[in-house]
Amino acid sequence: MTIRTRLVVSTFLLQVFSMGLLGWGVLAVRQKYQVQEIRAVAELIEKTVERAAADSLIQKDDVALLSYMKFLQAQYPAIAQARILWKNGGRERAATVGGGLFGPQTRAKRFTVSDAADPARSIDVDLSLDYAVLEAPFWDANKRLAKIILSVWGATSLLGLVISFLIAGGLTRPIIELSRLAGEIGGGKLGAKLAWDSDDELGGLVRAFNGMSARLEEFDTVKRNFVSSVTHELRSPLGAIESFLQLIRDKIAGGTPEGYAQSKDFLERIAVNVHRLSGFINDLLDVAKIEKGKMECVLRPMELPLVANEVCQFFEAKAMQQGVAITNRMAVLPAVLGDADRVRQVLVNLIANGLKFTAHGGQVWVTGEQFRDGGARWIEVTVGDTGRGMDETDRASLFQPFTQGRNINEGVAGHKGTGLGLYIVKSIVDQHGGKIEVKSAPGQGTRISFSLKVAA
Amino acid sequence: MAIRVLVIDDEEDYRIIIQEILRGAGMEVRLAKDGEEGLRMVKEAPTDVVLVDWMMPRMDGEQFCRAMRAEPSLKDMPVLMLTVKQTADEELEALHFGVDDFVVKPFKTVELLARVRAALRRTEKKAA
Repeated sequence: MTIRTRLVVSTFLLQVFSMGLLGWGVLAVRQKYQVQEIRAVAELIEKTVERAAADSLIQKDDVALLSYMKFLQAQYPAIAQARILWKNGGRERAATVGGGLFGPQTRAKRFTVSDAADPARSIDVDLSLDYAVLEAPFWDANKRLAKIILSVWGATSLLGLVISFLIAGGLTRPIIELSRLAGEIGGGKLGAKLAWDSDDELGGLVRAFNGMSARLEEFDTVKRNFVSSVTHELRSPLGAIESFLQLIRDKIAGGTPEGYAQSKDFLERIAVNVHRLSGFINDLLDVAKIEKGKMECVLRPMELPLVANEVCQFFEAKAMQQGVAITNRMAVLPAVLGDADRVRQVLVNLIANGLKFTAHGGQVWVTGEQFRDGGARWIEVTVGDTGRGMDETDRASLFQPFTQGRNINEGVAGHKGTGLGLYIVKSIVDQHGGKIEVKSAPGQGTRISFSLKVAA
Repeated sequence: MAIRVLVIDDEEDYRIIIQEILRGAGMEVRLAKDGEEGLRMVKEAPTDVVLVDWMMPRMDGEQFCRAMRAEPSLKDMPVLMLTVKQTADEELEALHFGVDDFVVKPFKTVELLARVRAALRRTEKKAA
């Protein structure tokens, strides 16, 4: 049975039951008061008869009593029978009004009135009131009331049925839609969304579901980017190496002096590609370590300016070839706590990025400044460039793995990069307890700063 | 007359490799670093076949093909796409924007030459 059917059936049953109970209660209460009202009517008739008997006794007018009784019986059809017995000393006279009976369907009452001045004179009256006639008008009203109650009962039950059907439908529709969507997502249609907005729990569920779906799509995109960049980053240098090897083989077979000279150049190119491949594989291994939480840095006192010098020298040839000036502007600084290999990796990554996006005639530099944060002394290392910079959107996703600026390859020839470098950089800085931040705007160059603690 | 080939690739290594292979087979080779430069060069001088990389900065292989096919004089020039992409969907998509054949990196010397010659043969047949 569907949720909708269950909801509808249970609300309907509840409705029928509660309305029935209410109607029954109304009728029961009414009947209880009715009994008292019937008694009051009966007592009124009895009082009237008794007073009439007393009056006739005082006025000594027996005939008047008899005719008054007849009038009363016409007035009150409930009077089934009245037997009147006049007593005067030893003399007795009886009369009967009405042809009704005394019996279980009647209310019998006997009363005696006597003359205070002449105790020998008295009148006995036996009065029988027919319950059926007494109750008749009340029964009619009850029937009408019961009819009203029944029709209200029926109408509200029907209305309840319709309303609960609609409400249950409204409640279950997003659930049905969600389960359909979940099936679609399970089938691989990631990012599917449900257009449903309400302030209640269902709205919350739908929002959470849509968020989950979007996250899944994001993961999928990241995975695709990853596979595609890994494919490119592996295939491209491997293919180049393979082709160069074949070319070298042909040149050697040719045996010309130019062929040998070219082969030397090709060997250099193979070396660069092998270097690129091993760099990429090292990055992948680092990312695997980070994802497993196994990226560990051994912090020892180290000399920052020395490491910065080393890295700048490493890039000097490449910078010169590109027409970019590279300078280490670090003055003498106190030793910091760091893993020298990892700090070097950070600087290599940042300077390589700076060079990559800085055109001929530009500059790349490294600085180090001391600052205090509370009691601790820190050194802020900044790698700056006069390159093309980046906008807000690219800045926001800078340290995410496998993402690259949207126009990252615009005007940048050769290696496209994998989007892993800055993710690794941030993880290393995090491991050192430092902070990393970016200042950049399109056309304004880029400054990336990270902090390292001064060794005590 | 030597076959005139235009090679468009942003990676210097591949430009050198392809140039070396094609020259070895006696073809005339010109090189371009991206789609924009390639488009200029294909308009500048007569060309028999174009080899273009898919993923490039500024103007990629797809944009290059669309721009080239829009020129009436270049409409029928054979274009070979250099790619590391391999899914059937992507190849199908590429056929739609006017690519005649694919050369998947890494490629063998003989394969590259065979594909270039096959593309030329098809155009000659069409012309005849």
